Amino acid sequence: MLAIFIMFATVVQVNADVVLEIADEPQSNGFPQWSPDGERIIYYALAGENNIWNTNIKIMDSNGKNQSEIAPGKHLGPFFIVFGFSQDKNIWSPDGNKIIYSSTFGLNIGSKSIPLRTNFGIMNIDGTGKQKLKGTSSAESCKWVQNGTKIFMVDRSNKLWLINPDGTNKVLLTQGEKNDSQFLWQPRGNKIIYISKKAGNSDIWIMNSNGSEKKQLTFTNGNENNMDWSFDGSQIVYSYRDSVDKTNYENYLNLSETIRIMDSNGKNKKQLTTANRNWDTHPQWSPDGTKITFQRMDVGTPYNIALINSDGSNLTILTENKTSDILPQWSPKEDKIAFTSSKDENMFVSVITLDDEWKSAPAKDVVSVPTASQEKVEKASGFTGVLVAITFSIAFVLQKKKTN
Amino acid sequence: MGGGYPSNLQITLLSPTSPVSNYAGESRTFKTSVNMDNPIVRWKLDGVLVQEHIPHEGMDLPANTELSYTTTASFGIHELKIEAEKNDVLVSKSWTWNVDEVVGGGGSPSPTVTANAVIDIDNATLHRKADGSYYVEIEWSYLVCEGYRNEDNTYGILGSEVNLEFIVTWQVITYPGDPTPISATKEIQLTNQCLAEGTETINLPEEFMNSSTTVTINLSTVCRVLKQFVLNIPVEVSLTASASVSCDIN
Repeated sequence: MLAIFIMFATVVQVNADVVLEIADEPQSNGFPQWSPDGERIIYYALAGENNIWNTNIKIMDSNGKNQSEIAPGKHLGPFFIVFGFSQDKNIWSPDGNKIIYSSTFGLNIGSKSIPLRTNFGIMNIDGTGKQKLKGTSSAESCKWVQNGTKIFMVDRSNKLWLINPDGTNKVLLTQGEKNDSQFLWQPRGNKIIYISKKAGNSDIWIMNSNGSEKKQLTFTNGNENNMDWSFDGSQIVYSYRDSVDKTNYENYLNLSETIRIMDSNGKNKKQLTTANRNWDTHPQWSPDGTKITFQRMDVGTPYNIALINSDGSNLTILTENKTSDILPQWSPKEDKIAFTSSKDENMFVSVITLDDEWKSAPAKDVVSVPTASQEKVEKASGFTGVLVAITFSIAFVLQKKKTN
Repeated sequence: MGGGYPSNLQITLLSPTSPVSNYAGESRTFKTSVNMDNPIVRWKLDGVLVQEHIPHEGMDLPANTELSYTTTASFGIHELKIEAEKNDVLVSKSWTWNVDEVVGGGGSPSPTVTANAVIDIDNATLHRKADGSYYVEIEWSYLVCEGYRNEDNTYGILGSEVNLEFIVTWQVITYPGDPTPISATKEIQLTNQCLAEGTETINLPEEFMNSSTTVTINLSTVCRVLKQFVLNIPVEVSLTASASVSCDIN
C-alpha cells in the first residue's frame, strides 16, 4: 500500500510499515513543513534545553536528499542565538522562495538557557538574506496571508496586525481577548478563526479580520482544539475532547478525543471518528479537501498517523508500528504526508508516500484576495526593545573583553 | 490413548484443546467425533460414566457426527475420557481438565486521579489450584501524561515509559499476636502506551496464607514531551509522574 523507505544518509529499503526517515544521528530532527510546491521540506535539527543553541533549521528535498542547514544557532560566550519557525502553515511565502523565521537571543547561566528577546524576520530558503521584520519584538506568531502580500502578526497582548513583508505599513486589525488563542487566517478569505474560553471551555469562534462580527461556532461542554482550515477556506477540521471530570476516574480513564469538521459558518458539523478511548488530534486537510490526516493513540498503542475521508468513511491507520508518530503535514503536492516519528529516544522526520487510493487531488490555485479593511495604523513600538538590545550588546562586549 | 485392537476406529477431540482450564462453577462443553458409523460412545469423568451414545434402530449415528458433553466445573484435576466401541474394537482419548477455585476477590475503590498518572485495579482475584498453590489475577488499566499533553506550550507527547510494580502482601502468624507481612512482587514495563490495560498473574509462594491479603500497583512513568522552549523552538523534555492503588482481597 505504501512506498517504504528508510534513509540513513542514503535511502535503504526495509521491511517496515513506513516511510522515508531522515536520521542525522545523534541529533533528533522533526517538525517538517512543506514548501508550497511540495518539493521541499524545512525541519528542525533539535537540541536539548542545555544546548539550545544547537537547534538548527534545515531544508531538504521531499525525497530526503540535498539536506542543508539554513539557520544554525550560535553560541557566543555566555550568549546564544537560535532560529525557529512556527509549527503552522503559512511560514513559506506562496512563491516558495522565502520563509518567516524567528530569532531568539538569550543568555546561558550555568546549565540554564534564558531567552531574552525574540524577533521575526524573513530569509531566503537557502538561509541568505535574513532580514528582521520591524515591530515584531512582541510577536507571538507571524504568517504569510493574502497570497503573500501581507504578514499576519499576533503579539503577546493578543493584538492582531497586518504588516507588509518589508516591515512597513503595520496595521492594527483588532485586539483579541486575554484567553483567545490559535488565530488562523482563512485561505482565500479574510475571516479569522480562533479559540476562545469565553464560554468556560475552549470553543471555536470566527470574526472578520477587522475584529467585527465575532461569532461562536461551537457550543459543546467539551474543548475544541487543533483547528485547520481546508485549503479553499470553506471548512474547518478540529479535535474535540470531552471535559475531564477528575473526581470520576472511570470518566477520566475513558477519556476520548475525536476529529470533527464543520463549514466555516459553523453549519454541517460532523463527528468523523468515534469515541472509544482513542486520542485523535492534530488533523490536517488534504489539498482537495476530501480527506483528513491526523494522529491517533489507542489503548495500548503509541501515536500513529491515520487517514479518514471527510465524510467519515474509510478510516485507515497508516503507521501501525512501535514508533510514536505525530504532527502529520499533508504535502500540497497531494501524494505525501510528512510527520515526526520517535523511537529509541530519537526523533526523525518521516514521509509516507501515499498510494493511488489515498492520493489527494492538488489544491486549486490560490487566488488573490482583497486587502483586509484597515482600522488603525500604529507605529511599531520599538524603543524598549532597542534599549534591551543595546544593554546586552554592551554586556556582550564586556564579556568578550574579559575572556580576552 | 487408544485401546483394544489395531483398528481404523478413531476419536477426534474437536474442542477444547487439552489441557483445559476452568474456574469452579463455570460451565464447559467438550466436543468430539468418531470416524465410523454407529459406534457406542461413552463419556467418563474421573472413571465414572457420565454420558453414553448407543445407536438404536432408526437412530443412526453417522461417522464424524459432532458429539458434545456439557457440565459444570468442580475444583480439582480431572480426566474426561471418551471411549468409542464398534465391532469389539475399543479406542479412547482423554482431556486433562484443571479446575481452579476462586478464593476471593476485590477491586480498587475510586483511585485518586492526578493529571499525569492514574492507575486502577479493575478486578483482583485470588485463585487456588488443585495442587494447593495460589495465584492472583489482576486486571488493571492506566492513563498517563494527560496533564502534560494539555499544558500550554506542549506540541505533543512523544511517548512514555511506564513501570508497573504489582505487589501482593499477606500476613503470616509466626507467634500469636505477631503477624509478619510477606509479599510477592512482579514488575512490567510498557513503552509508548499512554493509555493501556491488561491482566497480570502473580504466582504466590508455598508459604502463602490467605490472611489480610492486599494487592497494590505502583505506577511510575517518564513522559517524553515536546515542549516549546521559547517561541517556536521545540525541545524534548522528560517529565515524571507516579500513582499507586491498593485493594483488599475478601
